[in-house]
Amino acid sequence: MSTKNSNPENNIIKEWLAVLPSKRIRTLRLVSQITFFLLFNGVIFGFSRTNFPLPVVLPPGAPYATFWGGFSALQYILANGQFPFLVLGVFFLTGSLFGKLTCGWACPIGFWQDFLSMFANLGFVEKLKVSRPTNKELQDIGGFFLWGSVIITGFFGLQRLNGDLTGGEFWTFIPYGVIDPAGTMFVTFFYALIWGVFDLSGNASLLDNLDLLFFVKSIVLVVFTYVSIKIPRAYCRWICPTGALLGYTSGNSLIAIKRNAAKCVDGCNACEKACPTDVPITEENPDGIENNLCISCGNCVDACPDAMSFGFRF
Amino acid sequence: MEINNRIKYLTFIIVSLFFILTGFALSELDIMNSITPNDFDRWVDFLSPWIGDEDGGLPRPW
Repeated sequence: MSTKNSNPENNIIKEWLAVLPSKRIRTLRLVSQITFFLLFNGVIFGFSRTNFPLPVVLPPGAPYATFWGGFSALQYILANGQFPFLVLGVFFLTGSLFGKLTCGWACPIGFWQDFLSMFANLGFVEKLKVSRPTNKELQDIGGFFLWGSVIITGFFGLQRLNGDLTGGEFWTFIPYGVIDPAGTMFVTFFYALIWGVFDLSGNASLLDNLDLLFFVKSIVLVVFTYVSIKIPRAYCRWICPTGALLGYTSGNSLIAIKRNAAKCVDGCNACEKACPTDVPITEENPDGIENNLCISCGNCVDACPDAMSFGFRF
Repeated sequence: MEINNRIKYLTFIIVSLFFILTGFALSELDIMNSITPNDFDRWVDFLSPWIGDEDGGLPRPW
């Protein structure tokens, strides 16, 4: 018996390397997600803060953010009495060119959810399956948050435009930011935990200063985390207003995932089993998935490289 | 390929380019630049006193 084979560490590495070729897209996507995560928090490396909006979830006030999250920018511009041409332009352009590719490959919150879903993938918790009609219907929640925030900010924007309102509280500018779990995790908790909890000065007491809103935000975050552990990409599928806005154009994007129906084996469904958002791939148009649940992650391409591929809709 | 798809994404690309140019012409980036600490009073309230001193070391979010 060789020494190589008897070493369990070597075997683990061997197994990992054997799996790697079948996870080529997943590996590329992981590299992309890490790169974008570092880029979006680039202030920590000395990059300049910019105010350009991107179609990903970047909560307002993120301490090291190099860009604005598109949905926060949309709300803020509307709340200042201006139609958000630039933000909508960026969303429509990205959506019509790449679909929801940014959700799958760049968004930090998508990355975080992929991490959370690892617990179910490794068998630590049981994965929860949602029926197809429910999966589709729950998407309305994202639309509700999107249009609700547009109506609220539009209302305050008109008041500011008429001179009836000047200044105002945070929620009148970015209402979704009040409950946004990404904001709670990356901004509220960041400042709360890193800056002060361990170094309270003077008469300040941590418990005295926790207000109702803080509890509401924390509960929303806990629910978000729990659901994302049990159901992969639950926030992306049903709640995310950024994704809901991208979804208006993603169904007809230039780049899409295609399926070669001739190479499909009846009853195989490997692509559907690999899909984190439960898109009914075999029922979709083979010339390009039009379902706006699809985040173009490419897990289906990894699962069945013969039949599934990224392609153009020329 | 369905012609409908092509029309849709081409239309959206043209509309989005028009929107982006209009957005730049209307200086929307300047609006986003106008964010000030006062706009976030409520936020500061519920983070207070943890955010502490502005010279604490980390950049302020605005």
